Amino acid sequence: MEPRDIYRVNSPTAIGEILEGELVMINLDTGTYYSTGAVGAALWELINEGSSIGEICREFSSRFDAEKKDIEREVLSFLSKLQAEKLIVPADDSNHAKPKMVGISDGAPESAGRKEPFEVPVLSKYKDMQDMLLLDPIHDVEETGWPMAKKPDPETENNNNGTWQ
Amino acid sequence: MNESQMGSEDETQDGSLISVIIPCYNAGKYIAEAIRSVLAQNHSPLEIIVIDDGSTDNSSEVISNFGEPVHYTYQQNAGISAARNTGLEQARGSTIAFLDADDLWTDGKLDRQRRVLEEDPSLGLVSGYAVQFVSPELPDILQKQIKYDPKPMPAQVAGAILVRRKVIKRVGVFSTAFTAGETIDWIMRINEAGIKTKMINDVVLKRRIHTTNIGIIDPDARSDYLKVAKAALDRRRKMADDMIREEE
Repeated sequence: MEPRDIYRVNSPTAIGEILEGELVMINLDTGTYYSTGAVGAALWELINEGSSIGEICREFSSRFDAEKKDIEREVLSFLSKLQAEKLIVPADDSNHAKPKMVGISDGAPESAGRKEPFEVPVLSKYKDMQDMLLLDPIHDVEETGWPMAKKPDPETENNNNGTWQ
Repeated sequence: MNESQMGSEDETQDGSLISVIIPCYNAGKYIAEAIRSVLAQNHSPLEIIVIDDGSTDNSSEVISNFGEPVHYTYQQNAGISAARNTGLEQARGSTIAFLDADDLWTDGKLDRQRRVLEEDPSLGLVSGYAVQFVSPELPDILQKQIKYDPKPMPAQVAGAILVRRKVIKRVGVFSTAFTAGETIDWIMRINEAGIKTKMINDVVLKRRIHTTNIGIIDPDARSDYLKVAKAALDRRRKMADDMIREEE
């Protein structure tokens, strides 16, 4: 991994979303799902924006309260884990959208105020939905399949985990 | 629905009175075959409940041709969870089986799973294996393009399950918050509740592949899988927190 390397989400195999500050990811080929906290989520956002490893490290250095070398080590280690789980892959530069200019150079000013604490991102891995994810009905959206039902109004949604009256 | 209708908590012959719930949305092409696969079972269910979830094709006509053995209810389109839940409200059996309108049960499915429940009163749910098949009416050229694994696969999907009604009473019905992964969410809740389940080594379900976009999941549906996973993680953490609080 080089500072100028860019990674991208390994779609369509991998999907991920930040839900209430937690990054949840699924590898649909294996049915394994993953979770990580705020630092991992921030990293995922930067990957989605097309940031290079160098840009991610610089952004993190200005944002988090930790030594630059520690941040670099942990970012690389976490990216390697995501890559090993086939959640991200190296982006093909020629096809990849121009990475956004993050506006952070080596000499970027420290962000005003206090930096966020840097917690080493941990990738938790779960296999308890494997069988189910691999064979979940994709009874889908065409005329012969199941339609996507209207999203219920959260106000009236009350039967999640509810008792059976 | 009151307690007396929910069946005795420890009846050993629970498994014999089975309600079959078939949700249907525009499956006029396939539902007759699905219902026939239920009628062909050597153990007759107590009732077959079909919930028509706002179909606009000939589903109602096809279903009504079966007459008496099939209880038909039409509702406005509300999604597969809502349709199954309507079926659950109507069900009188002490054991519940589901079948999607485009899938098929194998011969003897109900009887094999019923026996397993009967033999072990501590079991709450029995699942089995499923095989996938490409719907024969698809043009040859499409059939050849569809990639699928023809091997039997362990299937924790609704159509492969036989579940005691008291389990549903305990963990709740299908969540209508998800448009995909609703069965995963429901089974996760069953597992988290510590309910004993068993998977038998028989193929109990034939899953029909009938569209060309198999494997292409709607973006909203993909997102729902993540939400199902997140809900499971949250429940697990809450459970752990509750245990710590109890210890304190």
